[in-house]
Amino acid sequence: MRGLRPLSWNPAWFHRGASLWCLAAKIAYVATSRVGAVVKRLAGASEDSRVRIWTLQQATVELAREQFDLAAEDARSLMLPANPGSLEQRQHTSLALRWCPECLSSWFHCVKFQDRRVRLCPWHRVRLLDACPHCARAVDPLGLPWRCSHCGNSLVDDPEHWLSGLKRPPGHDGRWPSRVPTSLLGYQELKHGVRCLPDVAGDELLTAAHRRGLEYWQLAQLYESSAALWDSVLCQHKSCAFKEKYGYQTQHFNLEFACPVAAAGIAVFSQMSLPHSLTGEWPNSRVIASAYQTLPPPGTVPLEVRKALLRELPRAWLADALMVFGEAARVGRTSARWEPHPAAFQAKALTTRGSNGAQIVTKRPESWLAATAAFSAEMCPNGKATSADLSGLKLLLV
Amino acid sequence: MSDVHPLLVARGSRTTTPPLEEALSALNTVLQSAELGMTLTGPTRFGKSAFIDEVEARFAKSKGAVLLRSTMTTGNESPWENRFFRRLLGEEEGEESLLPRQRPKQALLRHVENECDKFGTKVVVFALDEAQNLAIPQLDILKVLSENLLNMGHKPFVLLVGQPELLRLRSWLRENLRQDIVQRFMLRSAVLRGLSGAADFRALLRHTDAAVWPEGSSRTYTSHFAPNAWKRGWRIAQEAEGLWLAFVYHGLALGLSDKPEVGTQFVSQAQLALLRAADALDSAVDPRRPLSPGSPILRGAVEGSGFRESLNLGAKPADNNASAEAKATRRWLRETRYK
Repeated sequence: MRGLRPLSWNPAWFHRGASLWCLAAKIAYVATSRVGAVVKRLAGASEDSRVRIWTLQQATVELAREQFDLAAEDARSLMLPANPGSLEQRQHTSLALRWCPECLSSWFHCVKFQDRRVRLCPWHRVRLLDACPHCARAVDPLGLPWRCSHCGNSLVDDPEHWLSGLKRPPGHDGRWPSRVPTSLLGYQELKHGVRCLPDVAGDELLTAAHRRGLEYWQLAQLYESSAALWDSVLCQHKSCAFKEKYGYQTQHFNLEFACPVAAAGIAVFSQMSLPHSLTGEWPNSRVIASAYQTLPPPGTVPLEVRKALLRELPRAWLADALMVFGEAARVGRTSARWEPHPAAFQAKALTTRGSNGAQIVTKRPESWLAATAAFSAEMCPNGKATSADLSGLKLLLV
Repeated sequence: MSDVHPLLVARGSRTTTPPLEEALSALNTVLQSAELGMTLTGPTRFGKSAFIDEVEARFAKSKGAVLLRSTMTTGNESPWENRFFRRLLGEEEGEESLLPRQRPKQALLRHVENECDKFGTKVVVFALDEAQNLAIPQLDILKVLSENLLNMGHKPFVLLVGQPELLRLRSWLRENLRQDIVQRFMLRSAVLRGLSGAADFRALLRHTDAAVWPEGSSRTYTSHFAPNAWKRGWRIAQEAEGLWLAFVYHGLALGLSDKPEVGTQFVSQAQLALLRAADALDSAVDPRRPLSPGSPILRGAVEGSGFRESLNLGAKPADNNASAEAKATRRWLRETRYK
């Protein structure tokens, strides 16, 4: 246990299907420390790279095998398969903790819960939670174990005796179904849209926990979508974003920029009150009006539909901003201004005929976003062009 | 596995010498009583840390007790309580930033509970090296901690290992009406003596003839350093008596009035010099005839062992004192009837 020294570990804490976070939370509990401090040592995950807790890295697998004495298969099951740079994969991974309350009462968490497509726990058939039941905020996985990172309340009841509690099996075999039944899913990704499966109009569900529950939840969804964009489409320009002069409060001013891609990210995410380069700040402000006004009024659409709209919104805005800043850079300008406008976001929720209430939320193809990024990246002074095919975009521009 | 031979690393080669066995036996006896602690003292380089290594290895093998070891320093930076608990957890000073703990004491208690659970034991031993550096408030914390652990159903035991000055601390505590601490942790004491006889030396040197490196190979330590002499049948254990006497003569020459006690690490240094000499000059050693204590090889090995420097005697005697040294040696041998 040299690498983990002097952290406590007990082989009886591992149960098949448990996530790396689950093990780190147990270690952190005994060490009276934050989960972030433990996963930093285990997976190199930190506030500005939370995705590393959830996605597979070979070094972490090797470390886990050695430190926890796990079989290769068990070590790999601690994390989700990694596909760096791919929005298609990344967009379904939630950074905020998602958990089954039944599983968590046994101090168990499966990394598959982090897949945003999954709505119900396959073992208990209960809805996965993605917000604190006390304050309705998204839970930072790097905070204190089993506690809300915002209000500090416990997400589970403390066991009578932690020593036996941490070893208690979850009551199921931990084997994730090889093909998750549609009944457990919240949505399915289609080529030109998102199929949102039947769900409750859950706005009441959110406001029941807190009167501002819906706002907090929407902010968390926007944060997830934006983080996914920074980790995929914009990942090569994260370093550019650090070099840009303005990070915040650019809504009402022209933005001076060097890299048009980073500038587009900054402009869009500042409109949502999100940190421009996701340097670790967990979102705790409210969704500002410009983003909020584009969404359906509360209580009118099911939660999954709202979630799909919130996923599409940053993408649509980003594609628009990329074009604005890309074009400005092409004519030699070093400052530009982007503001959201109704034409930039045209996603709609369509009720499918003959289905049992599923709705399709339209979306622009991902290739469109990649092409706008490539168009803008050509003018990046740091030479970080992307390799997307621009031919389709050029046709559209003509 | 390290690329460096264990004999070339401080405390790299581990063996149980008679003094170590005696100290282990003393610890075992006290552990089986109702005592909550003991002191073990010995001069520097006598193998105190190696003793803790051995205790740790034995507990790890037998799972009879959980051992938490730490080295005490004189640092008293604020907040020293938290630093002390972190030290008891085995953390180095610099590791603090790696894992900020909110409640170090609770972390220590949970760690102990978890380790005891894994081992299936209730006994937890805090082995504190350089314990002469302990301050009174730290001893008070140890007292409270042992009370906490007793209430949790554990059997705590504090092993204070340090320089002989530790016994002065005990006297000071007695004089200053802190019998509570003395009664709790310092009632029993043991001394880790040095190697003091050919038999002790032989035990150490036999290990050099028997231990292999790299693990799983057939190359012994002796054959590693002196392959030709090993092939001719020479074993370093045959030089045990000569080496011991060489230390005796050296001690007499330095003005020691009594049979010396030699720290394990000095003997290790001397045997390394002997092995190297045997390798450099193949004819220097003979499998049928042990070296005489006055031979240049053994004298050189002893003089280079650091034994003299540890005595803090001042200037080295000149070579023209050699006859006086021999005379003193003969007189001492006659008086003590030592053979």
